[in-house]
Amino acid sequence: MNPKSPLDELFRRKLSHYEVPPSDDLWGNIQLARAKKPTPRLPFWAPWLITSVCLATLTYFSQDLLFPRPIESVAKQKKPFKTIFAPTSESEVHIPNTYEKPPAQFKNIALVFDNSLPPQAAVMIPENDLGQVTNTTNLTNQPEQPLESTFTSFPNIATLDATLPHELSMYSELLPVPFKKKLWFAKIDFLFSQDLVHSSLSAKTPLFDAYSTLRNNQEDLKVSNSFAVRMGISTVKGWGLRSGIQYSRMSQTLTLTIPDASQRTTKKNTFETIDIPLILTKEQSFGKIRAGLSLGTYLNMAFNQKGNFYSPSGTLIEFTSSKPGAYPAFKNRLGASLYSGISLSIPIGNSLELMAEPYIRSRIPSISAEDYVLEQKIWYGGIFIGFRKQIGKGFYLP
Amino acid sequence: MRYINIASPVEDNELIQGCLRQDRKYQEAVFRRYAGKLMVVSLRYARHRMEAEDILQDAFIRIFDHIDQFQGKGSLEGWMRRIVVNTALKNIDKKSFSNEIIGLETAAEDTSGALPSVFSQLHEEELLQLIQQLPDGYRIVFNMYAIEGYSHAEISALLGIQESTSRSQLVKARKMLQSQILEIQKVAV
Repeated sequence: MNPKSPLDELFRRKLSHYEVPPSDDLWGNIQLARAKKPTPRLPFWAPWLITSVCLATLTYFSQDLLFPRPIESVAKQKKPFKTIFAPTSESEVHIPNTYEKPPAQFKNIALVFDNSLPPQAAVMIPENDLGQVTNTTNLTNQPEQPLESTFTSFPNIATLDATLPHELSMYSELLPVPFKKKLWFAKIDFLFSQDLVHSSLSAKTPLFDAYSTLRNNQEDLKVSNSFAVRMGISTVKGWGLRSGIQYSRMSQTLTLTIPDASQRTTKKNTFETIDIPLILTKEQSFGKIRAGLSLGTYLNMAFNQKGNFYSPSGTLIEFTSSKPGAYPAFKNRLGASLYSGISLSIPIGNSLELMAEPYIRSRIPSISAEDYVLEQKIWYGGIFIGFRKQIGKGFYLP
Repeated sequence: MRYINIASPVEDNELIQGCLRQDRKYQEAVFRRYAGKLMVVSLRYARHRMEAEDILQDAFIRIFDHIDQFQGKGSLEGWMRRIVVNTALKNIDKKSFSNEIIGLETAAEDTSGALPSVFSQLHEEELLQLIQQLPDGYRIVFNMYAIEGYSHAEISALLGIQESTSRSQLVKARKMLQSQILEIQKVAV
């Protein structure tokens, strides 16, 4: 409490309950002024949402234009079986008109699976021949057929071993139910990015509006470097989930002309973050290129700062987090941030892909400490460049 | 439509809820209830009545636009008073604090002595006029320190001036007020 002066007390006591009515037209002027005010700004998460929707829409509608598909999925082609299975003689298999609507004599079909084949290879036997293959047990007792003879009638399927993992999804409709487990692939990404960071400072109360404007003018655009390692699993249909760890280091240049000293000072600040990404991806192949949409969140594990800024009175304030007694202007944990990106990759070697992922990311909560007078929000935009390596040849979840 | 009678004991909470819905009736009720008190705050910081009304108008616009930021930690009136003060401080010219009045620099701050009886006989309107007659820097620091209760460190941060400047402006404001009151006494006698 401030030291009491009798004079101060007199003014405080006499004026604290004193009222002076404003002019009669003040209320009308306030209403008029409020009616003319511009519409409020968009919420902070709106750009993220809009960008995500635009990216998703663009990806969806441009896939056929940008990347013509050389191989159509046989399940969706509505082609006669003849073109798919190409029987060598008419007596071999009756040819249905389409894959979607098999004729009546195919009601009692048996799905036969030969363990020597890839799980995608299945044979449809007409009803007349059903007696010859009453169960799969009999089949396994038969002398083992050489692979070549099995594939004689199905040249397209015979090439399955050479297909990329995601192309297996083309034949998933042909799988017998017991074997229709989802095939998963494990991949690891090593990524580096150079990003531009945009931060906005706003006053928590109107009292510090001028100060926030000053800080916004003083602090230059920030540049960030990030390194990320992501592990992920994905299905043959391209859905995937990735997580890992990411280290980012943001640099900031602060230039100030001290108001009362006409002295120009430049300071370098650094901000380091460690985040755990949790990203849902949907990828699809377009020829050799594999494109995908990534959406997710980053959970911040640590946030360290080193540097200075200026107080409203022009005093240099150090906020270095590791320094005892430094001003605690920032949080130690930043919570979650929203992430969206488009990934593009091309194979460059054995299970190895070169990939690029332009992205934007926004911190949901402010990075400022609860008690600090300003609220600072951060946006990142950049492009990840790196490699993706598939581990093994896929696996089935238990 | 419900009529809001400002004379009736409508709780501030109800008024806040109405303002959050941007209900004009409730906004007007808030205005009618607090405009008189806030006008005094505005008059203390302004040089004249017209400027005070401009400040009050801007402050009420901010109040209605940012009523959702009122966290209920103190009274609604206290929150509104701070907004009026902040609005008044928004247009402060830093040069106001370098306008020294020669002769008051070395004056010692006297906080121990009792005031002459004439001081307490002054009416509120006269006190308000005395404050308004102070130079800008003196008036602002005196208002913030003596009446609003800010510390010199807070005034320094808010106004972007040195703490020593705030202290010296306060001392000079007090001395000037005392001398003005004594002048009034002489005239009255």
